[in-house]
Amino acid sequence: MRVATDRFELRRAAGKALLVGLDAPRFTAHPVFELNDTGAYLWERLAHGDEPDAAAEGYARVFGVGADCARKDLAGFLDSMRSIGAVRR
Amino acid sequence: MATLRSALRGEDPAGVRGLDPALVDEVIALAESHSVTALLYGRLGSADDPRCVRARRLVADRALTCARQLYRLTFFSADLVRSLSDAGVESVLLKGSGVAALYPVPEYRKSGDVDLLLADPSRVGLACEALRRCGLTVVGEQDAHHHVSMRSPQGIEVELHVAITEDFDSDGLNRVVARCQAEAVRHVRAVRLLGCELPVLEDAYQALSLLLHMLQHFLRAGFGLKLLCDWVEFWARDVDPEQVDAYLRLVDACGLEGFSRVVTSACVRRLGLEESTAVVMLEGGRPLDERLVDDFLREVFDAGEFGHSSSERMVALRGSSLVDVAREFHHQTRLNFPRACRCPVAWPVLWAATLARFLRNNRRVRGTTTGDVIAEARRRGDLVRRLGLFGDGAEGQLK
Repeated sequence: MRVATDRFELRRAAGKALLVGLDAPRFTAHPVFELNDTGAYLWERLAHGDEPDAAAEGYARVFGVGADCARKDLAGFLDSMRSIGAVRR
Repeated sequence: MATLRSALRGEDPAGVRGLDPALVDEVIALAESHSVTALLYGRLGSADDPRCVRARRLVADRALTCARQLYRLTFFSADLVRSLSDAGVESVLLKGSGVAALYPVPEYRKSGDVDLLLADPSRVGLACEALRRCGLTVVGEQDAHHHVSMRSPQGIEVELHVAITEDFDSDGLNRVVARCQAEAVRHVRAVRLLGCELPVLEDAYQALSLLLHMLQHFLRAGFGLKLLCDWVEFWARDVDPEQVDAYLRLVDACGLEGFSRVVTSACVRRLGLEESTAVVMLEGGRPLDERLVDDFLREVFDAGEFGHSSSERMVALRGSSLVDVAREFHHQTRLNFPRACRCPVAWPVLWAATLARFLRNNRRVRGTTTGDVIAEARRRGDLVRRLGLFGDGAEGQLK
């Protein structure tokens, strides 16, 4: 499972993590989603090529949560990303 | 200025001494007038003083707004270029996202519209038609002859340039610029931003375009710090020495080496452009008078973005005499009526029309008096004369 880095790019500006949609019909608005810190971290790990398990492990370590919580948060994150077309198998 | 310099140099914000809270409001007001507020993001220290807290919040808001605008304009620019290309019209992006891409954080460079230079100016009709099919409309009242203004349904203004700048009051310079432009559109490269390939001029020509843009506005109502920030960011990169040499040849051909040196020197003195980076551009010619550079910088500082700081700003004369006033008046007539002015018999009528428009606009649009506009133009003309832009002074003689 990979995040669709060909369709979205994570940008950082003004203290925010902004996920910008790259792919839209001409002259239509491109979506911009604001990710929180945990979402931005998971996106970057997955965009870097990490497998979901590795991303969850890193997440648990960095944010000081248990493994189960990390996996649950990852699943929730992937659901959100799937809903906007930002995940591909 | 020190805060802006630290931002452009990419200095560690923690290492920058916290701004005196008493000065914060003034700094923000100045930044706003120059549209560089977003560049101050993260640069206003961490003091708990309510003024600093309020300022940091304002800067963060501006930065976020700029970011969203950059995304909007970048995708829009790419769509415009593709649509024009589909219609057989090649174009190059001037300023906007192409220049923002030079910045460490492109999002912080404020842009408001899209400027496209048509590779073949004769295709401007075809270009307008192609963009009309995409939903844009031609703006009713065109305020310039070197571009056609169109507007998107979302209100974004698009300028289709048939020339990089409006004509200067120097036929020699205009001829050289036209030649440079014809060359420039054969030297295009792609800049990648947000997955978009944006066509921009190669460095030598992009630098010339930036310089000409500054000159155009300098001779009009003025320009502010944002364009100097663009200059800093442009040259702070590792520009290929061949491109630097090509730029110097272009600037020499245009007779603008003096103006280029003054602009560059101002950026070195106050905006953090490394002298070692700019050394090639500062070499040669007579030594620069430091007071001249400071006065130039003060003029930029006072102007605000595009000279919007005061309604008396309209043009800068070649000097401060009545002859210079008359000369500029004729130049404005030529700008207003480029085709009709080819017939000298029509000049009296055209002068009358220009005068009527000038008097009316001073009253209704600028809300000031004609006397004040002329006085300001003469005052600024003294700096133009000292810069030697029109062959009267020490450097940068326009041909």
